[in-house]
Amino acid sequence: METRPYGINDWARTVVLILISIVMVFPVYWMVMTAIKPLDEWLKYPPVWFTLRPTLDCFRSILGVLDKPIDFGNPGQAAAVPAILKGLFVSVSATFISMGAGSMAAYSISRFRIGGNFLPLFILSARMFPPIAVVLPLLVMYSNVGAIDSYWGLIVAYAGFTLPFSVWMMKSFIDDVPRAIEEAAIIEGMGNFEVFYKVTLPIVKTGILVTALFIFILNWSEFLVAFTMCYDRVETAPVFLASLFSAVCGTLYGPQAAMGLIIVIPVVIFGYLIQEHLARGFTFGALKR
Amino acid sequence: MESVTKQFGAGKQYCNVYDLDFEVSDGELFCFVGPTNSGKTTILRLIAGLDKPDRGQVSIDGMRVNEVHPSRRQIAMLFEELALYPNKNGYGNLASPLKVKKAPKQEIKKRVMGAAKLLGIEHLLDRNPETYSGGERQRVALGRILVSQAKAYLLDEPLGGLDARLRISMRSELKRLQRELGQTMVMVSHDQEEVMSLGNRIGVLEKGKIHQVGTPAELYNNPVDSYVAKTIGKPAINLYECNLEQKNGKVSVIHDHFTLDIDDRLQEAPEQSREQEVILGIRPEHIEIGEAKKKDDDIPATIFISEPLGAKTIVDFKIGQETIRTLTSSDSQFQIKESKWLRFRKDKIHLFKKKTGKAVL
Amino acid sequence: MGIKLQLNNLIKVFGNLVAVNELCIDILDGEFVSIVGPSGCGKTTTLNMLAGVLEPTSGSIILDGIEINSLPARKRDIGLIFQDYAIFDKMDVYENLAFSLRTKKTPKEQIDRTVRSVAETFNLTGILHNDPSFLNPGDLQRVAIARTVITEPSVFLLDEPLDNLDANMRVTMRGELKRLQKDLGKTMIYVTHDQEEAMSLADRVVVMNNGKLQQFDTPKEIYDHPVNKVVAGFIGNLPMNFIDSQLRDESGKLILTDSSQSFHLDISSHRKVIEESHCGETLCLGVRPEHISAEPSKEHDSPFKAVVYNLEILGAENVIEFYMKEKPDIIHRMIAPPEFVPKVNDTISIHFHPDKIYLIDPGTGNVLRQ
Repeated sequence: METRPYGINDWARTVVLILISIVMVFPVYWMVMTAIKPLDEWLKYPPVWFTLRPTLDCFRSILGVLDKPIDFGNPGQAAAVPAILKGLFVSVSATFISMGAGSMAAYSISRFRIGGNFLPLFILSARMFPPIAVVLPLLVMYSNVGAIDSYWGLIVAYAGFTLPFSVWMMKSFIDDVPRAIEEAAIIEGMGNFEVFYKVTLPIVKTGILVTALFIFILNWSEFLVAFTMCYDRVETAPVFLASLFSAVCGTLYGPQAAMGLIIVIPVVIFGYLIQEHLARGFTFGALKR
Repeated sequence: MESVTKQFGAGKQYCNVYDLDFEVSDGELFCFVGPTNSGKTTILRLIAGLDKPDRGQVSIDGMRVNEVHPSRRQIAMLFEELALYPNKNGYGNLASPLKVKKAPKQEIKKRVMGAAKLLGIEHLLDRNPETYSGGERQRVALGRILVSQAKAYLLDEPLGGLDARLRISMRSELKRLQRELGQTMVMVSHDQEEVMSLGNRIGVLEKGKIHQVGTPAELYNNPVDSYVAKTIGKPAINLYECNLEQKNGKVSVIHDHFTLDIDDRLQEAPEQSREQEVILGIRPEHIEIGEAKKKDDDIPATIFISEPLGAKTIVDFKIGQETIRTLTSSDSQFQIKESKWLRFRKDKIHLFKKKTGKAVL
Repeated sequence: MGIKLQLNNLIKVFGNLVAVNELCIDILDGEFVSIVGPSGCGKTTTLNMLAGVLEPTSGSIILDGIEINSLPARKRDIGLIFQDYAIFDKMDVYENLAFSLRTKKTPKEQIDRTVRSVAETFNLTGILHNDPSFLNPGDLQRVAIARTVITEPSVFLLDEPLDNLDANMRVTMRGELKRLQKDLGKTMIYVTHDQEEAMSLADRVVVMNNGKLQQFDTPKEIYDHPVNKVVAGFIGNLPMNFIDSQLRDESGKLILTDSSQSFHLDISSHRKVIEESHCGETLCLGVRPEHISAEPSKEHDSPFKAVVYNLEILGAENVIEFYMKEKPDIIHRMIAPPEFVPKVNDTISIHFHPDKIYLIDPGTGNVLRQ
């Protein structure tokens, strides 16, 4: 390969890239900073770009399991851990239900064209309007069946909201599995359902992982519905974060940033895992051409 | 199959077939040959049950199987795309048909190792398909269908995509296997050489219809129409549009550039001499090249190009705009633009009616 | 004809794999050379180095006297024709031909003149405005070549351009391609794995194996006088039969036979070259299927007894697979006329002609030459 000198176009491109990177990374940086700032620096103006007095007080205050809990004036502020656990429970359950129903639906749509052209698009359309438009009617329906502030109510709602994703993402992974492999299995003597879970699913296991993690992230970081439906018992992590304010100190930015970091950790890890796997091919070698 | 017709909707992957009528005997290696999109894969799919015929009946062992699900027909099929399981290793792939039928572990192991030994693929058993070369993948796919004991084996282009040398050795292996195991096989291919060398009987397909079914010798010597004549034999038969004329009681074939006296041949089919427009067919191997004119109807032509193949040479001649391809084992040097005299062997001429393509002689 | 292209000690190494090993060939101006060999022999790597896609590890490529090793692909005077022709199907034939000229920003009138004149040479004038997806293979091939001809390269590289065609179409296209090259008079280098194609097209053939050059000669020479077992076994429609045999001296005659005495061939005429080769008592006997006959011929021959294993009826001829009586594991092939139709397991008498056999030194693999 020949190389040519770094021209003016290349410099301009580099500068623009650096600027964009700064803009994208800054909120994360600020959040990290805020989470380790002492109380007096949270709202200081001019802003403290880099704290010289880092402290773990914010984390201590919300987690409640470290010694020396710091009180910022909110009685419920130390409930981070229960909130995390509840959030996990709801998110994981909803993901399972969504994946289970969604992959079977995806298989039917992909292989048997169930519902023709209408059904798949109908499922997709469920995601086309913003959740905020549905929240109030949902609230009314839920209160009628007594599902307000209940675990199962939230799980069902989350499963419903993420079903379009699980159906469409799984459908695209299943579409990529050559029909010939399934037909070969049928000729060997497998029934349709056997083919689905013994042949197709193992081949798309990467796709399953990717879709499941994607849906989990959606559920885990969901705020609006959880906030609306639940007021007391079922407090997921983002909802807990919103409750961090006190009469004494106002909005507890430090603890909020700390909680934000905690919430973001699984998102970052899973996001990184998904990204790698999306790049890999998973039927290589099964086909000739 | 009896009068089987299957039509797919527009834009589908497989081609329509019409009025298929044929029988495959027990222990026979039956081949279908035809260009791409002639319905070869459709036929196999209909036998396997992956597609149902619109009309007609498919029977196996004398019983109608139109309504029988493919998983119950006891057929093994080798797909053109091979369709190996990417998530299983060689052993897993080979064992799969038996695992589905819930055979005991010992039995599975015995049959898998047996097939692996037969095909020389023991070293592939613990590796995954993505590490295989083209030839290895082909052999593992073949092993997979051999392991299952089916009533019949269907093979879709089993040797396509292989290196020329590998194809020849695999052809022998396949024929040997079929003979030793005595299994009934139906194979489809676009390569007529493959089909001629392997098949006990061959069916020639075009656009979903069967033109002729016969042994290799029958198809070569007595093609029922010009399409079959063109499909079988390499290099392909030379075909020319001509007219039959009667002059002084003698019948001749008239072409823009040559005339042939075919009276002797017409003893066989005198009533056909009333046909006017015909297609003359003569195979490259049945044309003799001479330096001088010896007979009245020898044809003068100039050499267009010659291709030495080792044992034989293909020499293309041109006369006017027509090309005459010949195949000769002569050692002489052939120079471009040299003139020679060509003689068609009269006993090997084929005549087809121009309108229908059907054979006259 | 002068030398157009020289490959001097060309080497290409990928990690531990030596893909091309000290390749030295001189290609003459206007010559059609084909490079052939089994998969993995290094032919595609060589093509890629000539095209400029890969840089040689060492050695040099000299075109018209100038070394072009480090010249990028687009600056080389070489035209590449791909396996699938790579014709743009969104443009009509005219645009395809004009493409390279437009990229060079040639003035419109000149483009038109050049395209029309090339189209005439290649018989494409009638289809200049056709959609390429509807062209037949013959026209497609001519468009692909015409398009490359317009860029006026000094050398053409072709990468198995006939591979995708039906068997019969391939034979027809081959003849056309060969004639086209003769009319154009340009140097062409054709890479293929199909030995029949290589033999039929080329003035001279390069046979490669495992990265090394085996033989570089005319098709006739390579067929009649292969230089080693690799070339002998690779060239020829059906592979050559190889039989392990032993030399014996019997009453003054030099006899070739095998361990179970199933055949007895008098090769006294080859005595001199055998003695010079010092290869001992074991020799590998090579004989082509087309040189085995089932009919007795006049000169010194003793028929061998062979058992028929398989019979293939191909129409113009029959292929008989057989084995020697004591060695049922090794299958050999012979070609017989269509009238000869033995049954499987029949015993037949076959004859080798002592002049049509090849004696191969089992140690070096080289063919002993008279």
